[in-house]
Amino acid sequence: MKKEDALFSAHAILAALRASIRLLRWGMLALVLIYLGSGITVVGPEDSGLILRFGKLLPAVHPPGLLLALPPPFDEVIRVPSRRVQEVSLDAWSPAPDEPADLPALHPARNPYTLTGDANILRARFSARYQISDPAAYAFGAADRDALRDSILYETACRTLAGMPVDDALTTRREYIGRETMRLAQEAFDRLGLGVRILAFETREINPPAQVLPAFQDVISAKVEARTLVEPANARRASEIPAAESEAYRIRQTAGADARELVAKAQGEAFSFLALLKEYRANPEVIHARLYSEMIETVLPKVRVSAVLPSSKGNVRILLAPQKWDSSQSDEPPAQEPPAMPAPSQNHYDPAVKKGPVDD
Amino acid sequence: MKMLSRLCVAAVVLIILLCCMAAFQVRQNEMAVLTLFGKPVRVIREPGLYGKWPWPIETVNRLDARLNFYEIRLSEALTRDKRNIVAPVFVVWRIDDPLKFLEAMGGIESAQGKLDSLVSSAKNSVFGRYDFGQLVSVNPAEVKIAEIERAIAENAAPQAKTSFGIRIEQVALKRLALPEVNTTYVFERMRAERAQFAERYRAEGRRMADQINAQTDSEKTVLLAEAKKDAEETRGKAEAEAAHIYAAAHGQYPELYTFLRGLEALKKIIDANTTLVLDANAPPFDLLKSAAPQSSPPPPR
Repeated sequence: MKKEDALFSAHAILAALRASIRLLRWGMLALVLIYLGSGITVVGPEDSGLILRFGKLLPAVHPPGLLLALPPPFDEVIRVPSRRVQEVSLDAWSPAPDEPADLPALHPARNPYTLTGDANILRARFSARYQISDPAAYAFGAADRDALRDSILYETACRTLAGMPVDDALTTRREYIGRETMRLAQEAFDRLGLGVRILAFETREINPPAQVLPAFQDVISAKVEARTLVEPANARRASEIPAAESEAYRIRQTAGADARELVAKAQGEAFSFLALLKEYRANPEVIHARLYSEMIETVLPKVRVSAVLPSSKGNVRILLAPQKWDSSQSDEPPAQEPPAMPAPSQNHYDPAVKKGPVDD
Repeated sequence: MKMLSRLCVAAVVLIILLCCMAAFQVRQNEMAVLTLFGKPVRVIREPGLYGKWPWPIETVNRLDARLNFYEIRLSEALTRDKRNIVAPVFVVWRIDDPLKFLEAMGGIESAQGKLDSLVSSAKNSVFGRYDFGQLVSVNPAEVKIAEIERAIAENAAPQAKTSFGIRIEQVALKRLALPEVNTTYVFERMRAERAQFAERYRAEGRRMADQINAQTDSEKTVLLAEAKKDAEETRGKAEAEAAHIYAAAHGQYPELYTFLRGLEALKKIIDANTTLVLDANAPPFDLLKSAAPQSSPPPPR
């Protein structure tokens, strides 16, 4: 009985071992299949895939999608984010948050800065955007590529700033700093074969040191003050020059009108004269008498004293009419003058027109 | 059959083990020096799969074939015009001769220490040949930083290559600075310059305002004077034309014109303060007498 039991147990163990070996075989087969499939990988949407076969780079650059490679150690897949626009912040020349603003001096290592063309001190923060233009060069170009990239950007910014005065750097040529730094940096990246294309270089902050900031702000105030002085003068000019032009136009137009009036009047009078002349030539006596009489009719009512002297006698006699007192000319009535009698004279009197008081 | 398959499996495992011990890869970013019991026997520059005797017979010494970057320690340099300048320098280099590099340096860290002294020495030497004005200038054409960088690289490159097996690809000044004590004076100068600029801007503003006002007054005067001149010319021409018209008309009978002008003058001259003493024979007073009018108009032409 015991012998039968032992045989039964041995068979059972043998069967279990066989089953385990079969399971192990299947497991081994599965592992082999997994290993063979381990070279199959996915390249992400912003990446490019590179394959190193036995350590040597294959020339093909694989776009996003499924990448079929051999399992290690035959192939090694390297993903490079060639489609991603990357940004780096360059803050080394800006003051640290805990740096006191009233430092009497700046240490070249602890308080980094750079110099401008006129040997002034500037502190700045930049940012750069770039993209990988050559995945293979980027992946295998440099050992410490981030530090190298940043150092090249600082170096080219330093060269750019070393050729311009501080005022230009702070105001008008900030765009130029970006453009020139980008150009110089791209040249360096291409020369070193880093496989990077710079898309933008921006000056985020650029300032003189805090120690001299009030002096710079005073210059800005002075510029504003200068504009404050100039603007009213410009406003006055903008107002007064058009007014003067308007006045000049008016003077010219008035002169033109006066001239036309003068000529028109001359033409009218000439026409009138010629018309009168025509009639005068036809009836000179009548016209003459009429004109003369009209003049007398117009003139004589105005005169205050008039006299008519007979001319046929030897003695001159002047008949004076009493003057009327004109209250509008004087407060006091004129002294009553006695009627004057003409003094005997032997001189012949010529009719004349006299103005003013009449002497006897 | 089972025995045969077991032998196959054992052979495969053995081959894999041998491959692991006797084959090695040199990656794309590497170079290698193979040593036989410590003695360099082979230099491998190209990436790929290579064979060797298993360790410890042959050993693979891997070196980085990529560009290496190293920032030289900060130090002052003196320019030709005796100005102190602090210019942090970095050097970009790569291994040119792996065997020499391995013999002279042993590793990257050691190489950087040696490069530091080599490039610092070259930097001091080159800076002494240039003026401060060739490092910073408001005229970009006078700035010779690129030339200085090339000169430092050329100065250091021969020794780096022959002694260390290193090729210097680039030397560059990361920035320009001054010794700490000098910055105090720079601050004072910057303040003085700013004060001067501020005063200049203010004076310039006053000058521009005065100029604009004066120009405005001048232009106004000229505009009005020109207009008056034109007006006088226009009136003068008109008067000349009128005179011509009058002369043409009145010249046909000057006596009549004189007579008419006389009548007009009398009408204008005589007023309430005028005393007339007239001959009784003059018309129309002669009508008071029985005699006929004695005056007669001049005969027509």
